[in-house]
Amino acid sequence: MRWLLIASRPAAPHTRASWQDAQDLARGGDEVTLLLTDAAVADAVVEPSPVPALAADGVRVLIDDTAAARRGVRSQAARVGRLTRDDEIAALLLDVDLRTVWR
Amino acid sequence: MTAGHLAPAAPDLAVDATAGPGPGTPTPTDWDLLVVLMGAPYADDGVSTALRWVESVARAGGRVQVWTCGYATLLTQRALGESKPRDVLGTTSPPLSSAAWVDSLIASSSGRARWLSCRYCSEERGATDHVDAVRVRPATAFHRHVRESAKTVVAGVI
Repeated sequence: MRWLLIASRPAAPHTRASWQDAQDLARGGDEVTLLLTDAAVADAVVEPSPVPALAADGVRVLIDDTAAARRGVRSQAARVGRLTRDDEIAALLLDVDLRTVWR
Repeated sequence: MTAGHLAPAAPDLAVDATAGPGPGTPTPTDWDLLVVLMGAPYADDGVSTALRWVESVARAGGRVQVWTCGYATLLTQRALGESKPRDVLGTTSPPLSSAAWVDSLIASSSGRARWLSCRYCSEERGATDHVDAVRVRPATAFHRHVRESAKTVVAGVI
């Protein structure tokens, strides 16, 4: 199964459930993309960043470029994850085989 | 259009003849995406992110409909006018109000986008004077819009 989890709320601990869900699904063999947007982009740039551990479990972590730029953390976010823009996000949203959960 | 504009004899089961490819049993191929906006529109930037992505989906050729619930029904009130108040520093021209933005989106989408507002939520909040682009729908029609969409994404909580 393929998943798109969108984390939008303020950073951990609010988003911890999204991180955990992504990790659990990936460990269970599912294909998981975690998209960080809005206040959740702060999760990616804390030290130490949780992104490498998720990536090690096979989770693809994307960071909303616009949300990162609005918060002035674009360069920091780019160091730990891959920035993504609206056209790519639109394609993900239009992918009917990608189960999408936004929290 | 105002709340009640679409009031048919059997509103809960009525088919909006101008919706999708035509009346009849909805199929998941009528619309590519249904985005459900819930909660207060100014509580955080989640709503503006959702609107940005809705516009991107329409620009990419997708057929997208938005259903607003709860306080999100306030986004399209006619009283919001054409623009937001000018930046206090006066450095930019006034941006479009959310209501004018929705009108613009629908007008420029060539039928690939539409905006639905829950009548129950609108009336409960006295928010019944929507801009023309908005289709006011009975709450019980929600299931129909889910069924006619290939995918549904819910953003926010009430």
